[in-house]
Amino acid sequence: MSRWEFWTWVAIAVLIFGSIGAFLWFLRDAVRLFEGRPEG
Amino acid sequence: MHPIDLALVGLYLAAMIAVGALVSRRITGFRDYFVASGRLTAPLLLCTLVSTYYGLDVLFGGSEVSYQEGLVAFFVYMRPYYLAILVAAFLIARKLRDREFMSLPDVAARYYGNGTRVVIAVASWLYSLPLLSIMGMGILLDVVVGIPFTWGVLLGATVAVVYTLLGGLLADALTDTVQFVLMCVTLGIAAALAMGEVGGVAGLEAALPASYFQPTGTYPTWVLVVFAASALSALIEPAFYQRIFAAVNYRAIVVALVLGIGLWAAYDWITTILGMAAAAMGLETEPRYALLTIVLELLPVGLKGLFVAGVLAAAMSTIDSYLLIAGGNMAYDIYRPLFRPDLGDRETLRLTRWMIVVSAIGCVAFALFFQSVVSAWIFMSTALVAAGFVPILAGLYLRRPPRPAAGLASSATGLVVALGFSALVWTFGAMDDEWGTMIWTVRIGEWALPLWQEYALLFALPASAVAFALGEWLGRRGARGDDDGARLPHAAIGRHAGELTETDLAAGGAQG
Repeated sequence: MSRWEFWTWVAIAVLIFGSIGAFLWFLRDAVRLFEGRPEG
Repeated sequence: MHPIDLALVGLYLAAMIAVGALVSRRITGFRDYFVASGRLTAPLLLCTLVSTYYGLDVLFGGSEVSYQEGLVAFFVYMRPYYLAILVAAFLIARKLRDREFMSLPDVAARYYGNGTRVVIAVASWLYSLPLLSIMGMGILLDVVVGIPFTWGVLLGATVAVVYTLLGGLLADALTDTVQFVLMCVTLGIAAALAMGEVGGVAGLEAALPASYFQPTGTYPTWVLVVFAASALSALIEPAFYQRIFAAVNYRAIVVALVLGIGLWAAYDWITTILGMAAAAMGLETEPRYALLTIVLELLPVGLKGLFVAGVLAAAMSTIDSYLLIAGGNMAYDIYRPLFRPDLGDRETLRLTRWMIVVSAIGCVAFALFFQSVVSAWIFMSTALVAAGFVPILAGLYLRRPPRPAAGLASSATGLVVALGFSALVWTFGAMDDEWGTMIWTVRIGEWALPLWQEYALLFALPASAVAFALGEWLGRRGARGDDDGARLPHAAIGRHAGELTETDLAAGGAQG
């Protein structure tokens, strides 16, 4: 596997799992957001 | 498109408006509306930063370059931005958090007074008009759904305006979370399918000329310098600044920006690869729609609708955010200091909403009028950097407080030189088919100097720096924004409204 190929699959994984992960993190944090509490 | 795909697109548009309507009930003042009363947490910042900064200019523009030139799209166009964003995260964000600002021109007002604020607000307003995303959305709805271009522009812009009008930055950021996932996941899936179709990067290497894999491509050196210099805009980006002011704390900004760089880089790389895949597959298309064409060719029913919603999301997350900034620039940064310094919180909020509508109408009119939106975008980002880069960073970093004349001279000179240079190239230059840009070739005897429209920044930025130095040398040390009342209405708006909002929201949250 060439380095371009490797980084392409890394980028695909980051896009799919990174964005879903960030969204789940946001959902977990949503209560704090609406209550206006500072981050822990 | 299949009815299932159409239904998914319709559902997405309706959901965005619903979010705006829900959030609107919590908006009580301008600070709440414009910077969400400083409540954005790290994950929300991450989603809104990534999706706002990346609109159709990146999606279509990046793949357009890689379709024609290859990896240069990633290495020259995109990579310098990551360094600028890191600088913004670690050096500038902390400085900005020291004071209660609400907009980029607010920073100028703090150091130089209202004259500089208004000049930078005009440049910020120009920069913030989301021309390319509005036009791209019209083309997308035309090509994919079959809605005529003008109606597509109006429909997409209307939906983005409605939920932004209702809920301000919070509605914008909340819709950005969904838009962020949609645009990233659908692009990732499309890339995986495309890689299978073309036989991976090995397949690309077999099908494309070796020049596609040269990181700096075949561009002249000065153009590469200008591309890299355009990343300076990230240091004074109005949407970045607004989110820095809206963040719950400094740590949230750093976390969001550092993680964001990973996502931006992945998005850029995939956009580049998809453009190259379209070239390798021999798809006959206008270069700008290379990515759209290849993805729609590869995705099955259902995913196709989700992808269109994802592209709409990329456009709308940019349109809503920048229209909010443009409206704020007109109401809060231009009208209020010039004509009604005593404008109250409620009135500023109401006026900002009206100015969002005015900016949207202006933007749609430009999008329908201009043929070359890319040219307009280059001009707009040049105007912002030329007017704001020197005075804002000097204000933040000079040990001695700068003189008001330096800020005004620097911002006005930068803007005028950027405008003047662009006007000269547009008037005396010609469209160059090979490079796809306006070039004015100045001839002096045997000697010929090709001036690309992209070179405006090479003249405007040094002119702005020289004007700043002259202003520091010749200007009087006088009243700054702090002393001449420029910040009094801001303080009244910000703190008063912020307290009301926090209390109100805490009560609302407890009840919920």
